[in-house]
Amino acid sequence: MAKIFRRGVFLLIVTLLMTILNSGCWSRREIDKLAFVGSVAIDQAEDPELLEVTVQVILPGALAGGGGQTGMGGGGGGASAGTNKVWLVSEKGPTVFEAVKKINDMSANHLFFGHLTSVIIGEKLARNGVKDVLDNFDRMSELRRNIWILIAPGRAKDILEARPKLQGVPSLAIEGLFIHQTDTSFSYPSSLNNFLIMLSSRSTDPVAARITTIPVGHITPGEPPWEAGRKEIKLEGAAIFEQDKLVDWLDGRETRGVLWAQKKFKYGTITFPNPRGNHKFMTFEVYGARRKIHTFMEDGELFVNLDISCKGNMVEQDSNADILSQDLFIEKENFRAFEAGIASQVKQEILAAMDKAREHKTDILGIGERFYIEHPQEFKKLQADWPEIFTNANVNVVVNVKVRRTGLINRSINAQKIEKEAK
Amino acid sequence: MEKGKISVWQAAILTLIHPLGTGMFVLPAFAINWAREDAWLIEILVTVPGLVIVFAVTKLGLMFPGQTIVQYSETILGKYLGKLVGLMIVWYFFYTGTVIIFEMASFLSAIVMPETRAVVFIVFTGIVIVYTVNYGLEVIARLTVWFFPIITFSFVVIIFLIVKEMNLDHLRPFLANGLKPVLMGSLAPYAWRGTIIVMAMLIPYVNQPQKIMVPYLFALLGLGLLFELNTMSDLAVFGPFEGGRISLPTVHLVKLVNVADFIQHIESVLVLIWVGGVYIMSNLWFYSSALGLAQVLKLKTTRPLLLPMMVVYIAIAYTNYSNYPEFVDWAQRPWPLFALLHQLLIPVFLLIIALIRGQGVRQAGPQGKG
Repeated sequence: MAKIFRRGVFLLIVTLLMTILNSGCWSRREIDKLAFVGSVAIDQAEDPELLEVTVQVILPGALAGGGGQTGMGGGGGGASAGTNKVWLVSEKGPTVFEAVKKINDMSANHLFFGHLTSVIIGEKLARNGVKDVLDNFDRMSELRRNIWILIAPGRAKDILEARPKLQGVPSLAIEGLFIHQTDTSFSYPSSLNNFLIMLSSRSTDPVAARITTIPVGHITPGEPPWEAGRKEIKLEGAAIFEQDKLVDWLDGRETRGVLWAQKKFKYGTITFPNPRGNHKFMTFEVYGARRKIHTFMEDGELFVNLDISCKGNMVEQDSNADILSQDLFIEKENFRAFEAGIASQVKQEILAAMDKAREHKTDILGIGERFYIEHPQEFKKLQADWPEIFTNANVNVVVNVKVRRTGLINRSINAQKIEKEAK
Repeated sequence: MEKGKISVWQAAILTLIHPLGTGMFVLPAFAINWAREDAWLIEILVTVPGLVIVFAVTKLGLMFPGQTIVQYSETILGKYLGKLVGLMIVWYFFYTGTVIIFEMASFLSAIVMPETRAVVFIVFTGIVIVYTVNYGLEVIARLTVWFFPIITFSFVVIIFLIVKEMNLDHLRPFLANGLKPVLMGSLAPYAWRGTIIVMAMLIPYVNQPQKIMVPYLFALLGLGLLFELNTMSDLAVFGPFEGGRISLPTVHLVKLVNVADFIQHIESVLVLIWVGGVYIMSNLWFYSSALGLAQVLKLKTTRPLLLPMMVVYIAIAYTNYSNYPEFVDWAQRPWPLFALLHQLLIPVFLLIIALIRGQGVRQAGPQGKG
């Protein structure tokens, strides 16, 4: 009996100790005492030794308001509160973390990086190298490696000062833009993980997304006057690096060339001059693409065979020529011409990206990695002068296109009434 | 001494699951850092010494029924040399256990609770271990069988959710740098896989020791399969350079899980696997070292040893390393040799001596089947 009693007391003490000690109240952080950082912008300060770090803290009410905009059909409140959805604060310091800690001294709430979605780096800093700046983000335990790395022409802070109409908060808007990046594939989805994989690889030079601001010149009636100075943000093209230093920008077409070559192109629209109409255009929407790549050396020259196949739908076609004829028979000539037009467009995109890569001797297409996979021993011998070899590569692109559907109509509108009468 | 009996499959599951919790976090970085794109070969390669261990331990267990490795080393090598080897094995279990506790504490303070000091985790885990080990092997075995489906299921689900981030090009080319980096990289993974030696302490308490071979092989291969999946997915997601640079790739892997913005932030599952795995491993190894020491000293029970041993255990765990990089260095250089000696060389050496001297039950067959 006494034994059972002693055991009961012991268990009671253990249970009580556990409730006190294991409940994790030691370093608790209540949600209303946290400042959620949505986005960080890093610029070079005037003093070249210092970094200017801008932190965008999302105010707790903003997220609820954001939901309200879609849920309750938006209201005057949602739009006018746009300016107060975030708290933007900058501080200078020799390292990123030092600057962030200085911001903490200004913030009543603890800065929490667990919901960080993007890091924006200014052009001036990026030209001097981004490796050291990213180190802290790489080490931080709160962070995920799927945050976005973006490069802004000019100051990175400008991006966070913009007030996109939808979402209101740049960091949330950036997330949305990347979700819809595949609509056109004119920009490059560069997560921290992908960026670092490219940066640390044997020969590939990194590519990152480029983000710009677009001023809204006029205001629509009924909007408050301060909207006039408002800026929208836009994902456009990509930034290319030589090791970790920014060297140049890619436009949308060249960016797509990189995406094709890196097997990252999945969806997007291709617009090209319509081969069956003068000064007319046609748009094709890709919904699936495959890439095969084969590399080999012959007589000291590098050959790269890119074999791309994509399928998709015809979404717009501005001429009278169509895949189905008047009698709903297939027009093989037109069909072939359209497919050839799409193929040559894809080919041009890839070659444009390759030209840019040649110009700066940066292997942004990842050809070196591929060559290493196929010919590891040869690559090791050539690695030292890979930029030279890569620059002189013969790139051969073969594109197979499959037009799957033509939308809900069989033929374009035929507005030529006289011809119809004649028939 | 131990009165309880466990079934062969309980013993196999104990052997399978105990190194998983720690190994799945730290091993991929070691393997990828050395072997780069060939890292996926390593787990296949270290199965070979694993098979040797399985064979030697099973054979010895059947030749000396009712004896643990500590006891039959004394039977084989005589009183003094045998006790020395027994103490070496006890020290191996004991010391490795302290390292595991340190690892768990540093993981929890690095990833989950950054402001809590590591000593808090060490001391409290220590107390719980003494409490569990006090109740003997059966309790540990049942606990493990209960943990087993949770750990393996959540592990496999995580791998399944991360498939879309994988790029299998990171696994190529095959053996471009020769076998040497692969062998160097397989040292630490070997040491982790070799922890199945703990079966040498369990065989006497298994209800049907003659049937231990198949479950033991299952433990070896099952563990290999889980480690292989883990290393391969880390390599495929992070590539041959990033994967070796990140200290705990699997943690980052799980943080990348994002299925349609719906299934994400599932790191708490990791903590479950980690804490569950480490708890089982430290229990089992502390139990083995206490049992072994009691057998070397010819004590009737392990109870008087538990608390004093735990005090030393906590002290070593707390003071052994001053930081995580020291542990990484230790796990890659001295520890594989330390492990090689105790996991592979001692059992094989004992088996050879026993066979030469003609000791033990030579034909386990008739008694076993009868």
